[in-house]
Formats: sequence, C-alpha cells, structure tokens
Amino acid sequence: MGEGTAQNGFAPGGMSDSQLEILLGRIGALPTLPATAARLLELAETADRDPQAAGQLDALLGADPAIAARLLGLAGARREDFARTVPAAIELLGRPAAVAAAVSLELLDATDADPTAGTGMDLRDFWRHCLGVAQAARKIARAARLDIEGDLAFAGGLLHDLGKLALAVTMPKSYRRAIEAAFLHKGNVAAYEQKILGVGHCVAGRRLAEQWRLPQAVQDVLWLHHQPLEAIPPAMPHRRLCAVVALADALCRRGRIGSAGNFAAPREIESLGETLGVAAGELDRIANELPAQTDRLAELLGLDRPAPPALVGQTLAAGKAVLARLVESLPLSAASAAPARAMNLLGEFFATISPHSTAPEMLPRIGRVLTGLGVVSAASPVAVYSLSEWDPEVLAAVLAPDGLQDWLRLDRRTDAPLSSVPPPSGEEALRLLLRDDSPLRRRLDLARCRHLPLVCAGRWVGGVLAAGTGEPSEGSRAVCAATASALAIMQGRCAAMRLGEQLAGASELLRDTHEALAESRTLAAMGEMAAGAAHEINNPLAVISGRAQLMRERGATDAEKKTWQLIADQAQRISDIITELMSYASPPKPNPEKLQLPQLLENAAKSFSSSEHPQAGRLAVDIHIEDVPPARADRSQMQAVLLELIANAASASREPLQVRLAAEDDPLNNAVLLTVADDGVGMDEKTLGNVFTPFFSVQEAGRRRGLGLPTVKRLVENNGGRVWIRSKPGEGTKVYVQLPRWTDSE
Amino acid sequence: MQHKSVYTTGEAADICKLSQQTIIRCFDSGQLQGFRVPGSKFRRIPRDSLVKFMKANGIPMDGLDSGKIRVLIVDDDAEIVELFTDVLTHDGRFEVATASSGYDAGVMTQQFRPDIVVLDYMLPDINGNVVCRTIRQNEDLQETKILIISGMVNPAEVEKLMEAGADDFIKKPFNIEHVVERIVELVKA
Repeated sequence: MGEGTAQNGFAPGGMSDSQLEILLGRIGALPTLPATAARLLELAETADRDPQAAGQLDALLGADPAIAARLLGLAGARREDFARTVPAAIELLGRPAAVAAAVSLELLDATDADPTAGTGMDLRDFWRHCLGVAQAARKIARAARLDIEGDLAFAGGLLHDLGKLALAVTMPKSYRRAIEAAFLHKGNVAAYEQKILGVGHCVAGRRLAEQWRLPQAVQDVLWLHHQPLEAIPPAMPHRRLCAVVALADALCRRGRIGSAGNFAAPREIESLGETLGVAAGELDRIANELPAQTDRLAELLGLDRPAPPALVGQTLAAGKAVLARLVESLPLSAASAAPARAMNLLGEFFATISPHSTAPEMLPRIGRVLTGLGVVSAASPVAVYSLSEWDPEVLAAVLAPDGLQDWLRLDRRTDAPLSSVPPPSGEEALRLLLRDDSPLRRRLDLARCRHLPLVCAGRWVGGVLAAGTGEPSEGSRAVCAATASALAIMQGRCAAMRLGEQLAGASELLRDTHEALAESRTLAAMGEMAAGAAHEINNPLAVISGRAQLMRERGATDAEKKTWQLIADQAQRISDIITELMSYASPPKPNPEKLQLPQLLENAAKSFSSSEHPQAGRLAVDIHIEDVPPARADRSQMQAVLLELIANAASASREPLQVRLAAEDDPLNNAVLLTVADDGVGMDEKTLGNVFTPFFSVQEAGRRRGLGLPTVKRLVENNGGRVWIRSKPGEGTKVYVQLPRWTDSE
Repeated sequence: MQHKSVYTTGEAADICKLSQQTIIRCFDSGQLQGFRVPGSKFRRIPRDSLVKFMKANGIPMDGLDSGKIRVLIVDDDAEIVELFTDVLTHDGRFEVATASSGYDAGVMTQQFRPDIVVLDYMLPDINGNVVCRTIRQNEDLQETKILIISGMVNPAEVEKLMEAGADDFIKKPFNIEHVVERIVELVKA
C-alpha cells in the first residue's frame, strides 16, 4: 500500500470495510509452519511409489488449516467444478498441483525460540486447536447422525478460526495485544479483536473466505460459529454444521486441546449436544479420545518437530522450485487473465464482476476499463474512489501509467454523508475530497485534471480523477453510467453483508444478556425461598437455642453447661448460614459513588488487620497503586468484597502471611482493575471452576461456609463489574475485580 | 409501670381501678393535676399528682406499686410463646400475657395494658408493622414499648418496622439474657 493509507495503525474500534478488504486482499494465502512444509515435501517425494506415503500426504494436505484453505480456494476458483472437502479438491486439482499449491505457501519463521514468530499467537497451540476442533467436529457429526459429510465437518472445524490466523498475520502486534488482553481478563479474544483491531475474526474470516471463494459451508462456519443455534435462521443451509463446530470448539476448550485465544469458560456443552442429538455420554467418549487423536494428527503435520533455520531455507527453496514448474499449468481465477483488446474491455469488466466482488477488486478494474476505452488518459495517474453511506473511509485506487497501483485515503471535508450530496462539479468534488496537503494533489496535475462523478439513480456512488479537459463525450458518459451501476450494486451487497454481520453480533449479545437475566431470575427465586425459609427455620432454632440456654443455666457441671452452650451455638450457626444465603441471593441494591481506589484499598487493609482475624497480626499487606481513575461502585459493598478477598488470601497463605493489593487502569474496558494476590497454596483447575458455586469449599470443614466468593461475585456484578481468578497449585492465587470507571458527567 | 414518672389517663384508670371517663372528668375539673401534651389534646398525669389524688380519695396504692413489668408476648409459634413465658416468669420481674395473632394482640393490648409488647413480625393475619402502627395511633398506648423479634431479617423490612413505631429489633434465634436486658432497658427508658 502506498503513502497515506494506514498499514498497521488502524484506529481502534473503527476499521472501515474497505480497509479490511484491502488488508485481506493482500493475503494471497495464509502461511504454514516450516516443519509441516518440510514433512510435506518429504512425503511428496515418495508418494508416487509408496501408497502409504500417498495416503499420509493426502491426510496432511487436509489437516493443515492454511493448506486446506488454499486447496479449497483453488478448487473454488475453477468455475466448472465444485469441491466442498479437501479430498474432493485434491481429486479435482490433481495431487501434484495440490502439493505445489501447498508448498507455495509462505512459511512462518517458527523456530523453537519463538513459537509466535510473525503473528500474535502461539502457532503450535493454534494449529493444535484447529486439529482438535476438526477431529471433534467429524466425530460429533457422525454421532449426531446428521446428514453432514465427515470430511466437511472436519474441514469446517479445521478452518473455523482462519480469521484469527489472517488477523494475526496481517496485524501481528495488535493481535498479540488482543490475545494478552483476553488472557488477562479470562475472556474471549473476539471481544478484544473488535476493540483493538477494529474487526473481529468472524467477520475477517468470512470476508477472506469469500475473496478466496471457499465453499459456502466453510464460509458460514467461519462467521457463524460463535452464534447461538437459535439465532441462525432455519433457512441457512449450514446452520447445523455451525453448531457442530461450535460444540467441537467448546469440547476442545474444556479439554484444553491447543488454544486459540479464547480463555472464557466453555458453556452449554450439554445443552448444545442435546439439541444436536448427541448424548452426554457420547460427548464424554469423544472428548476422552480427542487428545490422542489430535496428537496423531499433530505428528503427521510435524507440529512438534523442531524446525531449524536451515530447514526453513531449504523448504522455501524447494517449494519455490515446485511452484515455478507448476505456475503455468494451474488454471487460476479468471482475474489473472491478461487484458484483452480495448473493444472487449467492457464485456470483460462485467464478466469479472461476481456476487463476491469487493471495492478493492472493483475500483482498479473500473480504472482499467476507463483508460482502456480512452475515456481517460492512461499517460498520467488515474484515481478511482467509491462512496458509500456505511463506510466512513473514502479510499481511492491510484493507477500509475506503468500499471502499478496503490491506495490513498481521501478526505471528507463536510459533515454530511458524501453519498447523500448531489453529484458535484469537478472543482466542488476536489474541495470536498482533497485537503490542501493531500498527497493526491502531488500525484495528479490538478490544473489539468478532470473529475468524472460516477452516478447511479441520482446518487453519487464514486468518481474518477484523471488528466484531461473539456466535456466528456456521449460514449464516455455511457461507460461511466455502466460502471457506476456495477459499483452501486457492489455497495448495496456490501451494505447488506455488513448489516447481516451486525445483526449476528447483536444476537450474540442478546444471548449473553438472556443468560445473565436467567441467572438473576434464578437467584431472585432463591432469595425469596431463603427469605421464607428464614422465618420457618429460625423459629424452631430460637426454641432450640433458647431452651439450651435455659438448660445451661441449670447445668450441674461445667461439662454439662458446655454441652448446652454448644447446642445453642450450633443453632446460631445454622441461622447464620440462612442469613448469608439470603444476602447472597438478594443483596441490597448498590448505591454507587465515586470511589478513590487508593483510599478504598488502604481502608480495607486497615480494617482487616484490626479485625478479629487471628493471623492478622502477622499479615503483611502490600499495596501497589498505579495512577488510576476513580471507580463507580457502592463503597460499603466494595469494602465487604475486599475484606472477603483479603481474608481468603490470608487463609490460603503460608507463613509469613503476605497479601498484595493493587489497582490499575483498564482503558480497553473503560474500567479499573483491583487485584488481591497471595503466594499461598493456589488452586487446581477443578477447584477454580467451582469457586463461585455456593457451598463449594475446599477448606477444612467448619472454617468457612462456601458463600464468600459467590457473594463477592454477586456484589461485584450488581455494581456492573466482573470478577475472575487466576491460580495454579503451589503458585498462589490472584483475584481480579473489574469495576466501571467513574464518569464526571454523573 | 412502677418506674414511670408520667401516666396517661388510661394508665391512671388502671392503677386506680376506675374508668378512664372518671379519670378524665377529675382531670378536667382540676381534682387531678396534670398537663396536656403540647400541640395535642392528650392528657398527662405526673406521678406525684397521681399519688396525691389517690391519697386524697383513699384509693389503695397497690395498683401503683405492683412492681412488675407487664409484657405481652405475640407470636403464632406456641413453642416460642412458651419459651418466653418460662423465661420471664422464672425471672420474677415480669407479669406475662400472650397472644397468637394480630387480632389477639389488639384485644390484649387494650385489656392487659402492657408496658412492652414483644412482637413477632410475621403473624398469620396481619404483619407486625400494622400492629405497630395500630398501637402508636392509640392515645392511651403512647408509652407502650414495642420490641420486634423475628426470624426474618431483611434490612429494608426492619427499617420499615422502625418507621412504623417499633422501638427495637432482635433476630431469632436470640440470646435470652440479651432479650431480658433489652425489655427492662426499654421500659425504664
């Protein structure tokens, strides 16, 4: 890309459609791992004479996400045939061509020293995740007795996260940040892709799949695999496949097979299994077999082999040689055909427009057809731009006389959407689109430049800037009108696509809201029950405790008195549990105020040390506070939350007791982050998964009632925050409390 | 009642074993010295003037000096009522009456004229706050204390009870000594 356009510095939260399309258009293919490519060449050499090697080779071609995407794309570019699965694609292309296509992929420089080289994520973990999901999807499709080909489910699973690879390759630094943020917040990287990169992997994957003409089934999986099944319209032919892949993804995340940046706990495994008709027992069986099967596939791809730099070089050279031999023989997309004679240009232009055309594809073609037909001169640069209501960016394809093309960002010097402005005259258009210092002014000789607006149905959809003076001829106007309609149709389709993507995003949000609502209803019902129970149970407890107290007074010996006191105390203890349960299920409404975190932490630490905790005397509380904005939360509830967390940390701590409190800014979420950490015994995965469940406690019986952390969660969530825990056995525990920032408008 | 320094006309009637009407007549005619609560028509009789009135009219003094705190226990749970009766009777400082519903409680406050009502919040017919309000609206029961004792502990509900006129709240199960102390403290206040 040329000057003026951003490469990796897209503003967070706002990548425009054209930027995304251009970015993805630059990826000819996704890279694969050097070890895999080496393994491929090794097998290809013997495949002719060794049927076993041939079988392994086919399996390898189908098991690498980058290679599989490449093969399906190539098969899709051959319009006369059709292949939905990798085996079908290999048959269609022929094995030598398939191998050539595979080795022509770029290699990731994934040496052992840095498994994330060149991307934002751990590639071996990512590959393993794809393999696991592919394998699980195949098994689930079979177990569900759905009419879904096993190989198709496999391909869907293998390729479902292609969008992540695409984003990681094109914007490695930003992607690393997104993964790190997801890890810190124990969330899904998808949420941070949108915030940091301005686009999520589902949308990126879908757009890429469309550009590459991957099979429709794969395209649907790429962008709908995070959708709840109910949200996908029954008319979508591949909705069940999407659900199969979603379930496979959840199984792999639960079983920790590889990782693709989603650190949130998988949910609804059982219910999704039930919807698809797979019994829980069957799912467990699939899950149990999964690690070993994934290992076998990983071995086939050479995933665990070291790839020394020398091997990388050799593989690259060998791959290029094979590619050179085959580059001519491959029937690639019609887009690569050389321009025919001028008279055929218009026909050719329309022939290359397909339902999948995007602005970055179409704008240079419009430029070429206009220069080819002599509407504008090809002797100096030509700039073609597209205007649409939904895309705030105005990008122009600039064609140089030597055939090279690059992209420039134009300006919008009016608040009104340009597409709603009546098509302006040449000078007016230049005033609206070009700043005085616009680089395009240097490229085009504006004094001798002509602006041809592209107008369709009275709407200004784009235009051309090129050398030339005087009024355009009748013929030129007709050509402009024809290209304008094509552009308008493309814009309309993109708008519809974007709308679909936004709707999909909305329905995901809706599911989350729905789940939260269901949980709060359950808790409200529980609160009512606990309130009723409190009355019913506390009465007999009062009688037991009261009678025991009377008996204690009349007790003859100390031992007798002690026993009666014990009965009274235990009655009191039951009552306390009920009270706690009630305050867990229906906590008082928060009364949010502006909280200065240093003060909050210091007060909590102080009141903990002065409270009656026996260890408190020896407790060292270490407060670390970054420069953080104030939070918006209920003071006494947050005080209670911190006291509970400090007490937990202290009781898990070994000598000498040490608890660290910290506060930091969390600008990505417009929040602040409090942490309470200890160097204590830590927790295993299973305990960690249950800490927020009422009455789940691993501490000695009688010490704590198991409602502390669940109540913490309730209080924090009632204050609009989130709480999560990171811990490993023997390595201590760190609890994170995220609270909304105070905004001064309140 | 023996610890009080000021009496309502109803209380004076009880002590003198006369009708309230008679007390009011004597008050209005000046035979019985007293004052009206500022801003209302409620009559109040200081202990000294009551003693003077009783001596002047040869009324036996035992009504004034019975020496026991009159406690009305209101709870629909018979075991709780029995527990309180046992505890308070055994203590010796109290005279106890009981009721098991809001309606009974209304009747008993009129008849028994308790110094303090120990009231369960959740009654089968009406809620505790209705009982509180009814007692507070009665001119003659202004000095009657109300101690709520309940297994229900919703802070918002407790708040409402205090607004309705309750003097204190104790949660079930309770410490007996604490409850007895509280009863004495409230009545002496």
